[in-house]
Amino acid sequence: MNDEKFIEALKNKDQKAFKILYDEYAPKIYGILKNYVRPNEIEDALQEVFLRIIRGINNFEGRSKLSTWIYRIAVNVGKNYSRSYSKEVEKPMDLDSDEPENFSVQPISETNVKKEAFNDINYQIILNIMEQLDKDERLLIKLRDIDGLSYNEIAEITDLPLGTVKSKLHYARKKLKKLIEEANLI
Amino acid sequence: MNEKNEQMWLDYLDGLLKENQLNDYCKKLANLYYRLINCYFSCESNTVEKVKHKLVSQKYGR
Repeated sequence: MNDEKFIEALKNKDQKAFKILYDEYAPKIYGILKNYVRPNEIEDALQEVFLRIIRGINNFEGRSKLSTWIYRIAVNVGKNYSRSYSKEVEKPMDLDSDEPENFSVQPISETNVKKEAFNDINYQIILNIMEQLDKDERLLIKLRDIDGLSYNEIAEITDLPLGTVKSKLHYARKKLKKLIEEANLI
Repeated sequence: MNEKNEQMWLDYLDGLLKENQLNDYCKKLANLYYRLINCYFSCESNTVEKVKHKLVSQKYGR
């Protein structure tokens, strides 16, 4: 099925087409959400992304690639979650309340993903390294070095100028390389 | 790592060089880099399947 027919099938609420779309994009979107969303909310966020895709597909006019449009939705949902956490941290403390409150943002390191997945290297070391990059740096690495998107697509998804994408990614890769070397993993 | 090696490694990441054009250090670094980021961004298939079932039960948001 070519792209045009596939999009048409999605617009016609073809269940099979949605299943194909989900199987292809859900793991990729999961990785993006992991960058922004607390582990216990990833499930809800993933569902929200697909509901937005399903509800918005009829308004998709094909001005960008379908994949770009989907990635943009995922990044926007992720950023919305992330912004809501910042607001929680900024919320003034209620000194009269007896309820214990947790004002800290839960780090990604509390996720329950397989700790032994990296064979010989402790998963905590991976988290410690990756969490020294900022969210934008991690996103650029994910989009380019895992998902293999072009610089133009990344610029469209992130709303950054092409030159900025290139320079930020260059800096992020060098930073990650330095962290790997400093951790004596090589 | 010297500047020449670093450039070689960056060129490899951008597809400008092939793996067999890298020296041993750059090969190791590239391998480690990809393993690390793939592990970090890996997804939990349980969650992905759970959401799929939820969406299917809602007939994909109908």
